[in-house]
Amino acid sequence: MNYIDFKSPTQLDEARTLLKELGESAMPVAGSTLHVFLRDESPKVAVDIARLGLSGIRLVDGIFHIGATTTVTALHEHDQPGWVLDRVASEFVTQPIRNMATIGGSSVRVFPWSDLPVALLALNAAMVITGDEERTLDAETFFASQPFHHFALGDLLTSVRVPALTAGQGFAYLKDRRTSTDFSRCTVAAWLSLEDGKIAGVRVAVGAAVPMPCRMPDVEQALMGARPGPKKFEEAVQAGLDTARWKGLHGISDEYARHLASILIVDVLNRAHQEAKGE
Amino acid sequence: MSKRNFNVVNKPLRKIDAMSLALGKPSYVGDFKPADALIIKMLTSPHAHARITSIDISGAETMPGVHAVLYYGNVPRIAHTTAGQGYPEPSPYDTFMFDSKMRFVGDRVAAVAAETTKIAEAALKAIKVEYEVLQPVLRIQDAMKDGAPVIHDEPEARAVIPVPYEPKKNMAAKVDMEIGDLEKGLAEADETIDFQYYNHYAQHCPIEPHVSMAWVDREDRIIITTSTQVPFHCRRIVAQTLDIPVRQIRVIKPRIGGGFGAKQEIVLEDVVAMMALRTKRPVYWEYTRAEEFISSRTRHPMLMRLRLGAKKDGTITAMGLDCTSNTGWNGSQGLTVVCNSGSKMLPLYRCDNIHFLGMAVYTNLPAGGAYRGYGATQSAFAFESAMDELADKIGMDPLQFRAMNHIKSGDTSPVFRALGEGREGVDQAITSCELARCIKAGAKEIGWKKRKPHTSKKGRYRRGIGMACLMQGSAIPEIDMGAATLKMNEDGSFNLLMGATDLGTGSDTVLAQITAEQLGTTLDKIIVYSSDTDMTPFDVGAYASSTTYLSGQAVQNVALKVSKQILKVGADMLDCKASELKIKDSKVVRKQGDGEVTFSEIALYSMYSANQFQIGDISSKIVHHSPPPFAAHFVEVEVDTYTGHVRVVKYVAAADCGTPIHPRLAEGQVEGAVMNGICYALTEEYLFNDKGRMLNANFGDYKLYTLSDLPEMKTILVPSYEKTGPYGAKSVAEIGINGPLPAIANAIHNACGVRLRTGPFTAEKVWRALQAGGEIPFEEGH
Ligand SMILES: Cc1cc2nc3c(=O)[nH]c(=O)nc-3n(C[C@H](O)[C@H](O)[C@H](O)COP(=O)(O)OP(=O)(O)OC[C@H]3O[C@@H](n4cnc5c(N)ncnc54)[C@H](O)[C@@H]3O)c2cc1C
Repeated sequence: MNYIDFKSPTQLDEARTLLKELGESAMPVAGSTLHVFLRDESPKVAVDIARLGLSGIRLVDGIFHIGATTTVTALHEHDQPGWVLDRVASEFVTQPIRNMATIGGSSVRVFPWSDLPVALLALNAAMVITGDEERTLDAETFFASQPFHHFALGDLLTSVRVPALTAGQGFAYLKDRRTSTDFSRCTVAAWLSLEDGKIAGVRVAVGAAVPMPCRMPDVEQALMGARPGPKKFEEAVQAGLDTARWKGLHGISDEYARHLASILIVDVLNRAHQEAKGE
Repeated sequence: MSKRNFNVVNKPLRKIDAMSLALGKPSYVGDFKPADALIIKMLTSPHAHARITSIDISGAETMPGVHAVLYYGNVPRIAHTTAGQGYPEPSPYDTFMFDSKMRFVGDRVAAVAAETTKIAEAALKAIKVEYEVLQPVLRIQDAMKDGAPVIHDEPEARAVIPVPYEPKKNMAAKVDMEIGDLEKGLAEADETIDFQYYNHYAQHCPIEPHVSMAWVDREDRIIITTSTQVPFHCRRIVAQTLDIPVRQIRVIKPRIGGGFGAKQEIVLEDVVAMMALRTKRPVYWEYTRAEEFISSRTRHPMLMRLRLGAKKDGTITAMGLDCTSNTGWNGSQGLTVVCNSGSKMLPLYRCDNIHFLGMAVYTNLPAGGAYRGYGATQSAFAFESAMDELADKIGMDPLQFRAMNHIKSGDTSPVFRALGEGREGVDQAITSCELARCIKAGAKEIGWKKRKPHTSKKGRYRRGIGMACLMQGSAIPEIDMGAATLKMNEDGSFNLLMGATDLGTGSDTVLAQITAEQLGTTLDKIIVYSSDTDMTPFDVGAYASSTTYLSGQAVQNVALKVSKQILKVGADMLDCKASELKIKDSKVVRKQGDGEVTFSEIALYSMYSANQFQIGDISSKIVHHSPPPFAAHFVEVEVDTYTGHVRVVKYVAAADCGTPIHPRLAEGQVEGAVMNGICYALTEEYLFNDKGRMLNANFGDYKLYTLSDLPEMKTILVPSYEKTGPYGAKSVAEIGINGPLPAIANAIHNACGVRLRTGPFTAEKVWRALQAGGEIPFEEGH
């Protein structure tokens, strides 16, 4: 990156005005960890959005409102009934990066290794964008393609809303990597809710082994209304696996990526089921 | 067993450089970079095999801020080897500072020295090059085919010692040895095995990459400050490459941020020296991580065939090992690495019929070099996997099979004489070997007795235990030389000047401990300076597990000589015979009765009072033996049979390194080597495209373990006393890396019945083998 200036606004409006004025030459910067991967050499003005008061986690009517500049460390350390993102944050690479990276920065630009988008898809998060008007996109719409496409000049992601887990619901998250600091080769998350011992709601999301994080609609479909259990999960996964285009990363074949996903999805479903049962 | 109670040796004292390193004081090459240094950047070949048909450097040369551009058209063309080895080198002369032929993706095209990195990079882009692209050779088996493209077709390529060298056949080295009759041995066996194994590429990954700087002083001498394991070889080879006298060069080695063998090569120094001469400005060149992976050196990948025969009672009747290494674009260390594959493993087990064939072949891929383990890592994989396979066939416990066959104290092996480093070796009997105790202690710690066959295991996650026995060497006998200078100061301290190079191992501390022990003083009194070719005496450098054993003897000898001088001056001062005196606690004291003088009083007396002379001496040492350290490694793994993922649950390394001079540093060497070996076994691999370009030359994609991946690890030092070594010491630095690959392969087999003969043991490979009923077809990898 080639930064030629650094602006540090303290108000959301001020930041948005700056971004609009500076146009293409400006770039909002939250945790700034993306820069490790950017090869863009065009001169840019960094507009720091970390001091706009957009960080913090609040529970409002059963929904966690997470400020966009909340760091992954803060997600990790937060402890409240129904809060599950700590499980994802603990798998998010190394502590120094967790200290810097934010939920917003991790959502607006998606990499194959991105942890949070997979979890946010499974949790049916709502993504709040503040532009000239505020608008909210559901996670599936938001992550359908690179999310920055949803942003006009001066728009910022200001909040991410995640329903708290309640009784009868379970959530699990897993990723496959070679070492503790490795990029993921397959990331999976599942949310599941039970009613009368049957699956009343289920969301399964995958990342890394697919071009963009996505839900697995056929797997979900096969599970709705069914009695959960390892066998059922395996059947559903086998039936629904081919809706995704599997891609091997870091030396693994596409075939193995698909296989890995099939195992991990069953694993997360089993774990989510355990939690939903209260075990 | 330790034979003595020591005062300084065998104690975990504070490393002499611990505090300055912990405080981040300037220590490394980069810390001394002059503010006005020009930055060097290298334009490299995008093709694995090509000829430059035209090159135009004018755009770069005329760019403001650019001070020099070097390419094959404006530097001397002198064939040499980049291997930092003794003279004459056993590696072929097949490298030029620059050449018009490109032999790998990453080969040198042209170097630029400019005011800033940005200008240097822009200048590289301004160099116009056209290539005639040639067919690349990317596999060992392809390099050996009749009619294969010839990688070194230049007339100058030659071997400088009398060894087979046939560049027209892409053969960089060959050695053939037979003891007894392999075929007879195989015929006598009740059971035989004949398998192929393949060791993959890996890089040393020192935290500090290769980095060098140079400037020309007012006497027109080139001062090179460089991160090297071999300052003296560096001086000699740079002089040769630039065609200038050795006396015109001074090489200074500050602290090194890790080498593991990679820095036993002259990788940057020829260019920095030439640039300093051309520009008359300080110049600085530091490899990027990608360059470190591609253009530095690697572990030689090796294709091996191993034939073993044994009787039902466990007697080994035949051992036939064929090793062919991929030495890459140059033949650096090709011969000696492959020789070591034979000489460091074949003597480990007693056998009368042994055949060894070693070859190194050129390919258009990154060059192999010295890497911790040095050929033994490769053959230990084949050997120790095969020992399990053969034990299985004769129905014997693999531990028992090894225990009954391994070499013991008092034994010798004909292999010692037959296989040296590029020439005949040296006869030697084993004078210290505690391998049996290593096996016992390691087996107890891992719980060998609870080990069950894989056929009895069920469920998704299956655990297995594997082991491997290992030996290495301690220096190269009749070749390696070390030397040290010691002089006494007024306060009773001593300057220890050594050519030996501490590359982060702590050898400065270890050698200071030996010196202090011999002098009868404390560690804080030893001021170490190493290494500087103008100031310190010659030492071959840090390689071949030589520093403690070889340079340790040099410092012990010089300390002995100096302590005699101290006694003589003491006798003068106390008016008695030197034989009536002894040294104790930095003093000379009468053996009987009163009277003592301190070291400081002795130094002051000899410098200022009477019979004035500088107490001090120099001593050189060449060794006649290479006593092997021994080790037994044990590992428990857990295999996820659904995904193929292998997790190391516990690793136990029991090592006999003689007397550990600094037990904690010795343990650190073992643990570091084992971690290095575990990620070599499980995660490290070079990925190439079909044009020979490396695809994962960064730490994001090439995966190393970090401390957060550390499994439960237990190091057990089982001391022996090696009477030829300083205070009973042998080496410890390399051996530990040889164990994980075979021990983990054996543990995977014990867990789930999968036998892998090519590394690394990735989850996909294990999964595929599980799908195929335990084995996948053998394939030469990368
Ligand atoms: C070595 C390394 C390894 C990593 N491994 C992982 C991993 O395993 N898993 C994982 O999930 N992540 C990983 N990351 C982090 C990931 O790659 C991103 O760098 C990170 O998520 C970005 O977060 P940030 O807060 O630093 O964003 P920034 O770098 O500040 O910004 C990222 C992008 O989003 C934009 N942006 C940021 N915030 C907003 C906002 N509120 N509104 C609009 N636009 C915004 C910026 O303009 C920029 O384009 C790793 C990072 C590094 C350096």
